[in-house]
Amino acid sequence: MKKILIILLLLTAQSFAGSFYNIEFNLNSVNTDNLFNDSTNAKDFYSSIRSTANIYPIKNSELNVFAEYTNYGKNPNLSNITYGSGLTFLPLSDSSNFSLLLTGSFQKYSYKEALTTNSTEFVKQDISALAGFGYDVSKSIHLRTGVSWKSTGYASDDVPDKKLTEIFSGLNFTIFGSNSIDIESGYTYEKYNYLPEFKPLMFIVGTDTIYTDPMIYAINTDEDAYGNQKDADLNAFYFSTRFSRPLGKKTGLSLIYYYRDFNDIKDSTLVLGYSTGYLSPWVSSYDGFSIQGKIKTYLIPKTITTFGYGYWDKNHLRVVERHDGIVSTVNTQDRADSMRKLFLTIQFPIVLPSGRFVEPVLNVEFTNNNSTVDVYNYDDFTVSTGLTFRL
Amino acid sequence: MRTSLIVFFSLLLSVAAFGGGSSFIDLDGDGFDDNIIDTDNNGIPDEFQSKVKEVKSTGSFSFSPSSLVSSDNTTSVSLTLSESFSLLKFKCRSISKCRSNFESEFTTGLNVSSSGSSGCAGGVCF
Repeated sequence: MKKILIILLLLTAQSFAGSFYNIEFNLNSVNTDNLFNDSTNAKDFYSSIRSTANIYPIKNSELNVFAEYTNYGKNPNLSNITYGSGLTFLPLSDSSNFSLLLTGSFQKYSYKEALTTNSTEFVKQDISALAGFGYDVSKSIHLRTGVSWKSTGYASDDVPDKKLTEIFSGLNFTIFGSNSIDIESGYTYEKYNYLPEFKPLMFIVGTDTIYTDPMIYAINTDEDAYGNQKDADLNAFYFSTRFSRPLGKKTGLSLIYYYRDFNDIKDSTLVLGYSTGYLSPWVSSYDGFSIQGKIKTYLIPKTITTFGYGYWDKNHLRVVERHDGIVSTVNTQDRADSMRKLFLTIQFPIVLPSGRFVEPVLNVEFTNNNSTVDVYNYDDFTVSTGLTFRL
Repeated sequence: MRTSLIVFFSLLLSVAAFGGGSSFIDLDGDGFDDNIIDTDNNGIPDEFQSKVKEVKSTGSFSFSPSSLVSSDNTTSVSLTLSESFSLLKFKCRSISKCRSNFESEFTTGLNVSSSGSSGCAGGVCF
């Protein structure tokens, strides 16, 4: 009886698939020779399985829920379960010149180490929301603006919680046939709930107390060391422009320029670097510029091939790095990186007669990073494969 | 410098506004017209496939609405809830995210954690 009920439920679900809900499965595997993107060159292989359900209670709303498990071969403590949900509401008609998007989402990351030893080192949750507004001035001119907000909270006291607010405006237009230009600028405001405390290690030799990290100790007691980062705010302006156009019938070109500038950083600002905290939460905080080029082509039958090259010139916050050894010394350095990245992605989309969609994907990526801080000098070669299946 | 840029882009915008009304639009930045027809929603436009099979509509995630919209921009066929939503989502594609992240458009086709340069190390992202 129970089996019959299950079969009936599955058949009912199948009959409604695509009308008010759909389901997607992703299987991915990644082989990298530099998991942490640093000079330790830690190789690893990790794989993930993800399932997403999208539900459409009414025609202008989408509710989605997902769960993902990622398993690491050589760093099992990084294995994690991620789950979350989101709601998107599009209140305006598709025939209107105006468009409005309202969306909110929640994600939680739980790591194997946390699950097995009650450690909360990397456990975190994200809550985010976005409101976007667009206006079609004409067939070839589009305006947009929006605001987004994201809160990231860590279970561990060693990592600062943060809230990120962004406002942006953009313009897209087409000139001389099929030359598309897209300009966007915005302002980001990042608020950290607190800065991590610098806790010096110390040991006693005879009657002397020796701090292993004198500079860190000094930072802990010297308020000036933080500069205006004491209030833990980061403000930045960004500007981006993109040019895209077809190259022949089956190929498209995209060129992008980015510029970002922190406007409240003082020379005395210091943050913990990689060697003082295993993973630096500040690695994504940088200003500078980037130039990227991307080609997408359908020249190979039944495939979508994309490849690109990007260059990033980054000025990170000044970092505190610990030298190796039990009795280590610490230095503070200006960190400036130049990164180059090449990638190639080949997708093989297949639509089955039943309407289901299957897509194997192969991705190859090479990264070269040069930094003024030795620990960040590295190369990385990563090969990834994926399989998407949509009901 | 700033004035020159403003003048330059104003001129370009004027050309776009009064230069003949091109229907080409590329909001997703892949170099192709967003309105190119992709009946089976597999990501490859119909004109680049030898034969597009008639398939059951699934309202898939990457949705190209061209085949479902008539020239006067009104829906010409009865749509499911997911297809109606996908049509609206397609219209909102340029406002669904901003480009504050330097690497937001330098992405691959895989739905996996990205590199350390974007604030992640393996699956640990800040």
